[in-house]
Formats: sequence, C-alpha cells, structure tokens
Amino acid sequence: MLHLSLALRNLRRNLRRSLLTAAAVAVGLSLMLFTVTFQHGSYDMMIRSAISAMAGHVVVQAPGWQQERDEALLVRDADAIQRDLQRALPDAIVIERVFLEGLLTSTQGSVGVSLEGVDPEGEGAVQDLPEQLIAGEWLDEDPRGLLIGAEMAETLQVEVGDKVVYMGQHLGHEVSSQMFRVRGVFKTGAAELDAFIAMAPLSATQELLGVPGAAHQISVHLDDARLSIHTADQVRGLLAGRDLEVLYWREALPELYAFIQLDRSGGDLMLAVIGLIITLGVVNTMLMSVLERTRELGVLLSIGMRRERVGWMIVQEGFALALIGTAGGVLGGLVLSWPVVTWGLDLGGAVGGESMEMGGAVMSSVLKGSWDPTRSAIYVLASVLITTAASFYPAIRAALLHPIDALRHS
Amino acid sequence: MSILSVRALSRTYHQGTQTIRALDGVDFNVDAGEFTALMGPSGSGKTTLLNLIGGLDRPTSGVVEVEGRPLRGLSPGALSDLRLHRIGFVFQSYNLIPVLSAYENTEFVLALQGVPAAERRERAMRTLAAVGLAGMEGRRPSELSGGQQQRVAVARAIAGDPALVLADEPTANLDSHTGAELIELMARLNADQGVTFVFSTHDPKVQEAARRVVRLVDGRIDGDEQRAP
Ligand SMILES: Nc1ncnc2c1ncn2[C@@H]1O[C@H](COP(=O)(O)OP(=O)(O)OP(=O)(O)O)[C@@H](O)[C@H]1O
Ligand SMILES: [Mg+2]
Repeated sequence: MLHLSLALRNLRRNLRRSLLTAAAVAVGLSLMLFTVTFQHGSYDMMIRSAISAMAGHVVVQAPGWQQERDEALLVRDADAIQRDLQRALPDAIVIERVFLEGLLTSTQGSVGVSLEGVDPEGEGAVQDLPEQLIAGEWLDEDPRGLLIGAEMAETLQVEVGDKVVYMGQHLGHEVSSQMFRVRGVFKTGAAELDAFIAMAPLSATQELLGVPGAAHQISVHLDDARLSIHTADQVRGLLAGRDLEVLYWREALPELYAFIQLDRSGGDLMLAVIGLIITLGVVNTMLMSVLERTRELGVLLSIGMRRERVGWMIVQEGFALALIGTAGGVLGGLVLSWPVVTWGLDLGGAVGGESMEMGGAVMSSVLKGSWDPTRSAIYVLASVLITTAASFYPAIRAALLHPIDALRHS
Repeated sequence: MSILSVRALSRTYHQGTQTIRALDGVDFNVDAGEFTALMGPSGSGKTTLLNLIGGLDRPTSGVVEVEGRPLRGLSPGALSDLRLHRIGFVFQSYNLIPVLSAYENTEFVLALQGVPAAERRERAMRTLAAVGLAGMEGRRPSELSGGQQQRVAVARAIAGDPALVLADEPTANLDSHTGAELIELMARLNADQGVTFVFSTHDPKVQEAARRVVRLVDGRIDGDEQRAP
C-alpha cells in the first residue's frame, strides 16, 4: 500500500541529504563486508596451518594426552591403527606422530628440544614446512636425518650435514641418546618453532621410546574441513571398543577455536559500534525530514490518514533508504573484498617477515580473504533491518503529531 | 435530517491563569446541500468551531454529531476514518503534498479510502475537470498558481464524496479576484453536485456568494441568516 514510489519521491526532495545518508550506510556496510571477508580468510588460514602443524582435522590419542601431554600416554598399536584408518579413509592423509622432550647437543653447545617423530612423506604433504626450508632438504627414510629450526641451528652453530646428538630419558628407562645428522633447516618466523622444534622420522623416535609401533597421535587430514565432524564419527566407529580418544579439530585445538570466537566477537562488536553511529545518522536525517514536513503531515492527518499509516509512510522511506544504502554497500563490499580474495593482502611490511603468528598458528604473511556467505548475509540483512528500524522513532514522532498544532507549524 | 448538528458546544483554553472561551455554547445545524459561510472577526472562534466539527479537536463540553453520529465516543482511528470518508477539508494554503501531482494529490484520498485503481483514475480525472483543471493533472503544486492549488485542494476534498466539506478561510491567501473565483467554483459544485460546504471567511465580498451566513462573535452565534442565491 502507498507504494514505495511516494517514499522515493520524499527522499528525492532533499536529494543531497538522502544520498549522503545512503552513502554512509553503503560505506559502513562495505567496510563491514570487507572485514568479514578478511577475517574469514585469516581464520581459514589459521585453522589450516594449525591443523596441519599442530593436530589434524581428526586426531586419535590416548585418553588424557590432550590435557597432560604426558609421553607415557601412548597409543600402543599406532602403526596398525594408521594402516586401518588409511585403508578406510582413502581420500584422507593419515599420519602418526611422536612427541619427545630432550636435549640436543652439538660440538658448540646444547639446547632443550621438542623432538617430533613424523612420517616423512605424509607429514610433508600436510605441512607448509617443506616450503619453509632455508637449507637442506625435507626428511626421507633415512632414520638419522633431522630437521631443525633456524634459531636452533644458530644456537648449536650447525649447518646441513653436521652431526648432533639427542639425549632424553623416556618412559622411566635409562637415558638414551641418538646421533642425528642435520638434513634441513626451516624458518617459520615463529620463535618458539624455530628455536625449539626438531623433526625426525617416526621410526627413530619410536626407537628412542623403546616401543615399536607406538605413537602419541594419529592424525587425519582432510581436503574439506567441513567433513571433520563426520570423519570423527567414522573414526570413532572404526575404533569402537578401544580405549582411545577421538577428537575433531575444534576439540583438539580449543585455544585456537576460542581465539577465533573471541576475535570474531571483537570484530562484531567493533562493527556494531560503527553500525550504531551510522544508525544515529539515519535517525537524525529522518527526524529532520519529518520536522520539515510537519505542516504537510498535519494536512495528511486532518484529511483522514490514520496515524499508523502516516508512521508507516515514514518507515517506508526508511526502508527505501535502507535498500539503496545496502545495495551500495553490497557493491562496495564486493569491490573492496574482491582483490583480497583473489590476490590476498601482503602484511609482510607490517609484521616484519614472511610469516606471522596469530592465535598460536603460524602462517604466511600474505593474508587471503575468503567469502563468508553466512556472516555476510547476516550483515546485509542487519543493514536493511537496522536502517529501516532507524526510521521507527521519526515515524512515531510523525504519527503522534497533533494535527492542529502541525497545521499551525510554519 | 441534519448532516451536522452542533449543540451547546464550548471550548476553553487555559493560558497561565487566563481562561479563554474560544467557543461559548454554540448551537448550529447544517442540512444536506447547504452552502454556509462562517463570518466573524479575528479570534471569534471560526477555526476552533471548524476543528471541533472535523474531529481534529475535542470540545470542553457540548455535542457534535455528523450524520447523526456523535463524535464524542469515537476512537482516534474511527475519527480518522470519519474524516476520510465523510468530511473534506480545505485549508488556507500549503494544503497539498508537494511531491505529488495535481492528479496524485486528488487520487491520494481515494487510495486511502481503498477505491480500486481504475475507478480512482476515472473519479480523480472527473473531479479535476469539474474544478476547471483539465489538462493540468500532471503538474506539481509548485507549477500551479495559488488559485489553481486551492482548486486542487477543493478537488481533493470532494473527490472522496464526503457529506460535508469544511474550508477554513480558503481564500485568505488569494487576491480578491481569484478568491471570488474559488468561492464561485464552490458555489457551482454546491449547486450542480449538491456538495455541502461550510467555510469561514473575513471577506465581506466572499460572503455574498453564500446562501446562509452564520456570524460568530466572541465564541457565540450572533446571527444566522438565509439568503436567496
Ligand atoms: N491552542 C490555543 N491555545 C490558546 N488559545 C487559543 C488556541 N487556539 C485558539 N485560541 C484562542 O481562541 C480564540 C478563537 O480562536 P480561533 O482561531 O478559533 O479564531 P478565528 O475566528 O479562527 O480567528 P482568525 O479569523 O484570526 O482565524 C482566540 O482568542 C484564540 O486566541
Ligand atoms: Mg481562524
């Protein structure tokens, strides 16, 4: 009823003011959509790198290991489970990991180390680390090959080909030691990785533990993170009756998930504040427009237009403004986000390196945006609703005008 | 039966300690087809009376009945509907919605009344022709002279087929010649179509067209004379 065309004509009366208001909505929404896309992209990257480096989309561990990280909490028949899972999940990559704490010594010094035993081929496929080697090569079947971080290499003053000795006391046995040869040096940009992590083939670490075929973690890596929960259920089914814990990434990386939630809420809060400021601007515009038309609204009330219809007319103007502003915002959001989704944004200058750390995840400094249809749609919808709602107060003011007073208004 | 019946109508305003008796016991009936001028000096209560008749204001005491229905018991919404369907209004000036054309201003009331589009078009065009604005339907108020704008206002007031049209000094902002033309138009609509008008004016020349002149002084009726047309 009382078509939108009347609303549009009323908006055209003060075209400049209406356009400025719509532009404020459009610019605000553009920035919001850009932020949403940018954040979503960074979360994707964080999740991806964290999943590949720290866990997996689904992990199988001994009960309690997730909290305590006690090396005695082993999955004893990890080799067999890995084979079974890989057979059952041919599209996934299933790998085992051993985590040991010990001391690494060179002729020049020694340093505490977290030694990870990994499946050279599988780990190489899921990690970014092979691309982050600054010297040497990735692991192969050579059980004496060792990868260390750049800072550790500096501390130990070793280069590719140099010998180092690992010493550790495991599972209450006597101190065991093992000679390795540095096969490669990586630089992730994250200090705690580059200074304290070393990687060796799984078999070597199983030997150090003295438990053949065992590992601390069997992790499953998927192409599509959205299948994580489903796959976790599948794995639970396959391992039914075994005393093992099966977690999907959110459960295995609670800090990361919490960080993302917090960051997203922080983003929402910031954007809500921007939205509030814009909304106040819209309220102001609509109030001025109502005030300027007091006499005319008085005429409408006098000739028998019901109050609620007068109010509704103003709301329709707010709605038209909302549609125009939101359409502009969607367009602006696409234009702003497109390059970041396609090419990414290099934060190298800002973070001082080729990689950076966020929420405990290390990733490349080239941040790529990615579309977040759900959250974007919520923002677009909110833009229409809130901009329209901004006309409620002016509409109520218009509806409650006293016709005689309004007619006398000059 | 009277279209309008006003009995013992009073309206007082309080301003500080002062009490202003804008209307003080007015009795007054209007029958269908009348063409009545409300005369009286400034401050005599003409606007107050018209506002009470139109249900824009509530009386301090007394009764207003339109077509036998007392306004007192009506809810604001019902009063709105009564104005929409049964009463037409013409004000002094700046009556029209500036963003709507003459045609759209006239059609607006019909749209509010819920008249179907085809009938709306036919009636709005016919009414504009009846007030002498054929060919100017597409013009916005800003593209019309003051006299033409008042004609559109008259067209809007009568398009909805009301029982009664109230006009508060419709000629006040027009020069005397144009004012006289507007009153002539109203008189013709009254004679040809039987539209009942009650209008207020200061202008003695304007009153000459009236067939009945009701005089107000200090909120009281001070004369009510019928005249030959
Ligand atoms: N809202 C109001 N508050 C106080 N007094 C009012 C109010 N409206 C009208 N009055 C007073 O009521 C009296 C009648 O006013 P009204 O406007 O009805 O006169 P009028 O005959 O229409 O005058 P005019 O020819 O100047 O339009 C005047 O004394 C006026 O000052
Ligand atoms: Mg008056």
